[in-house]
Amino acid sequence: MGFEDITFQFGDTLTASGLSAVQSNFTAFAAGETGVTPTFNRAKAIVNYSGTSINFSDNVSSVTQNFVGSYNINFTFTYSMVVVNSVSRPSVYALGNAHDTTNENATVVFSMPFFEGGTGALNFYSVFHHNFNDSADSYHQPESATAVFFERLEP
Amino acid sequence: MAFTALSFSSGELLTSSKMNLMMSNFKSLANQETTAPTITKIPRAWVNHDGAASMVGSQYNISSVADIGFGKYQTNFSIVFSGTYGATWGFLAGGGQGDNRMRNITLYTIASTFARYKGRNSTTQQSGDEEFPMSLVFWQD
Repeated sequence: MGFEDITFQFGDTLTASGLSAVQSNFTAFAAGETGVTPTFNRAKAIVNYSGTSINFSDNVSSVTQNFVGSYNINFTFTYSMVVVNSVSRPSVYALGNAHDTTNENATVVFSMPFFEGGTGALNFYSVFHHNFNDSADSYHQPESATAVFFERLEP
Repeated sequence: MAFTALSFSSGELLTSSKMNLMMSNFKSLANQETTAPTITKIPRAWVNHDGAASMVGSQYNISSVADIGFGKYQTNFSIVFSGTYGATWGFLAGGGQGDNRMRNITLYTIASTFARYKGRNSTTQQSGDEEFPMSLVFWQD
């Protein structure tokens, strides 16, 4: 059940169904259901994954492996492009971190660069995982990784 | 004030108290108070602390931070996570760094009421654990 955009007209009879719909919009908003107006400061998509296994997600359909340490995070939507300083850029911005959730004595940490896949609107984001001090072509599969995506919203 | 689950029936007298409850539900939802629907895709907790594990500035759903070894920290939550959660991190604004060495933060224990993590510099030596001011945000959906 999506968010219902309700309008009350002057002179209308106020109905129980109309008020119930307002009440149910609280839940729809919280869940980010269809029809909810995009909200500033709220992420557009989120995923926590271990390899291609998704631990939790929202607006992410799958995580596919290109090779060990290289993944595509596939969205349930296609992001738009915005022009910033005359350059077309994705409207989605990424924040992420990779974890080794098992070893407190690990001598490495894992960086998680996001790779822009192209100049046009896409429905996925590419991610690489490296250890610190890795060579450029060295990859690592972390225990888990978290990626959060925000969408640029014009005020 | 907790979120109130309201229902409306045809023919029922619409009272000001019920409409006021609906109005207060907006604030309750925004504040994520008890029984309010959980808003997805927002942080569940965050913390800022210095290298000695003293909390600095604002935190949310955090009860305490402990220094559990050089460069290692345990953040205790005032909520209970069920299932997997993740964290993103950054350097505490104004915390300052004494050099230009790369640093990172990695989680190594995820539990329902606490998380353990450590600061690392870019060396792969055992001595690479490092204390520095940091900010962490915990996410779950």
